[in-house]
Amino acid sequence: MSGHVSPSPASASEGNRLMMTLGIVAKHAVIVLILALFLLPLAWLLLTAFKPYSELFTTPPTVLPVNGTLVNFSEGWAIGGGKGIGDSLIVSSISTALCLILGFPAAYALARRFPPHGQMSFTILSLRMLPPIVPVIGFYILFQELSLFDTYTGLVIVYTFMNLPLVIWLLAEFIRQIPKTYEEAARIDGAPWYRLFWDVLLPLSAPGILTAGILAMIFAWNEFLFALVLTGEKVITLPKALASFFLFQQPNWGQLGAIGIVAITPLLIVSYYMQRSLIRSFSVELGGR
Amino acid sequence: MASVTLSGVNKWYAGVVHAVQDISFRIEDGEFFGLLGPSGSGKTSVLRMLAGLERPTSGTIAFDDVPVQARSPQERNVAMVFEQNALYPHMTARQNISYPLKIRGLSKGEIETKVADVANMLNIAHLIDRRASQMSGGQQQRVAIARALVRRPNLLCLDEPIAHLDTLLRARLRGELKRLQRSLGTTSVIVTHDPIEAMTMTDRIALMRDGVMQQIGTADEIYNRPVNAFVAQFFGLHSMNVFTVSDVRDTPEFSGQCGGQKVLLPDCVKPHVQADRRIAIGARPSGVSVHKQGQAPRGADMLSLSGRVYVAEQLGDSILVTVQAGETTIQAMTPPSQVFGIDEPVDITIRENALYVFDGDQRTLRFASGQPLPGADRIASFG
Repeated sequence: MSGHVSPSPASASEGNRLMMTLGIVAKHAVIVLILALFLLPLAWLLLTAFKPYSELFTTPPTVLPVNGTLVNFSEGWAIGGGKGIGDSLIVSSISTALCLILGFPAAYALARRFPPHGQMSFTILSLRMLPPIVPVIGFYILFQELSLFDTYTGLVIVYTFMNLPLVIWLLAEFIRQIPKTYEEAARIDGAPWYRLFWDVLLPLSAPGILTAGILAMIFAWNEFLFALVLTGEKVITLPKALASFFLFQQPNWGQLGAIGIVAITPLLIVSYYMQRSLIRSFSVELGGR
Repeated sequence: MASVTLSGVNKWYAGVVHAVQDISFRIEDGEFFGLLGPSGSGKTSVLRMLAGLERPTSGTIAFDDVPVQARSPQERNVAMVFEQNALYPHMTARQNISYPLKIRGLSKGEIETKVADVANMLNIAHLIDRRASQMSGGQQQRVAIARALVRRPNLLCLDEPIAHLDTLLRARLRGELKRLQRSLGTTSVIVTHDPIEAMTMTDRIALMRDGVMQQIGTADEIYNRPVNAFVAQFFGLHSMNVFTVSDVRDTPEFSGQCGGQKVLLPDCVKPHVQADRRIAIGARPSGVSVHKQGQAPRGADMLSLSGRVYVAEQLGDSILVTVQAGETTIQAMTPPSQVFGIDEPVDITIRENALYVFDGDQRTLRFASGQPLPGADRIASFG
């Protein structure tokens, strides 16, 4: 009897295993499909960056560059890419630093002195919900009057204004998760406020600060509308520089690809290394409800 | 080290909650003092005011008779061990313990010596380079205690320091903390909701309820002379039985009614019965005897009533029998040889020398049994 019974569960489990394998294959196929959808433009950008101009329009088109070249990078850099990257770096890093310096104390006060998810929290975040097109006209007139038009200072101010609410909100949510006992312990241990901040609060909120900083940086790095309206010829950030490649003639897609690759590489690297702490701080916010 | 005096201390939160109400007491230099009470009793607020984390709304706090209520924790030189999240998670045990010394600007050599000393004292030398996440709860609390003691504070504040640990470890740390406090002679205050912790560790205990001080005294005093029924019921391993007897009359026999059940009262109660003919009777489970129906002894020196066994719980060296008498339940600690079944009708007797008498509202103690029985629950509580 047992001789008859034993093979059937075995074959059943084999069947199960087959189904499971098929399931995994299907799942991965879907993931690959979605990834391909997202990565294809990026791959095209990357490959184009290394093709000489003459190779861009050949029929049949080449997938991999046949005559690989770096000339797009040097040319793209020379016709405005370098200036764009430099200006973007200046404006976005200074505005990010300002956001964090101004945002942290505000976030701390919000986290410790105001009820969570109260009116104050909402009011601050709601500033971020404003469509950028709404304040941009006001800023334009204001900046003309204050001689801030087409200056680094002006753009830094705008990006700080734009990102501060989000930074405050993210940091406040993060600080709320830090038990007050750490601060009380530091007070008991005799730490004055600046040491409490430096020795205890700052290291404990580092992941939150990093997340908020990266987001502020990315937003400032990618911002186009304010840069377009509020700057002229002196300050040309990267998105504006890339757009200007289209202005006069048929754009050189190779140069566009090269500068585009240079523009996103730092963000990719940072996001890759930060993904764990990014996800963690976001799940803190969502899980904290 | 210092003596600590609180006089007329009040704490209001947001002007609405009167968390601490007009509290005054004195902690002697070198004393181990317990603040005991159920949650919400205000004991933690008192501790936080002592530590300087919060300011009293009114009243004074003095260290060695110098008012300190406006001073910061550092100026008071107090140390504190928190219930949880006590250690800085981004620092190792060594960095945690040295932190208060670093703040005070001690030299590297001094810090090293002191940290090594205190680490040896608390048996944590082998953990010294671990972070909080790499230590067990008990080890973390040890390190937290080391951080508190490394700078020889005027006052050591312990906020439920062992409440989160498991039973065995708690019992061991109880003893360790007591020995440590004795040997260092640091004035210490521990907040706890566990009467056993307070009884076993401290020299004197202040028992609070709803922000009001109930009683201050040694464990012995509070156990044997509880000022009211709340204290009697809260203090001790097993809660004291307290029930109100109404309609007390002298004829035909000295008796009263308790939840629809007739209670025969001993003569010693007589002088304490008030005009409203009510009185509250208290007895620890160890002072209550349970008898098979009809087998109870009778006498003018004992209280008796009858009821049914609700449940009998085996405790190893004794049995805790819960008896339903009318609407009251009474617990009795009986020898393991006595076996009772559920719903078995029984008689209960309480001898005069195990009897506590409170007024009818259970607010004040009127009579305590002289020297109470060296009862089983008393012994068990120290085991």
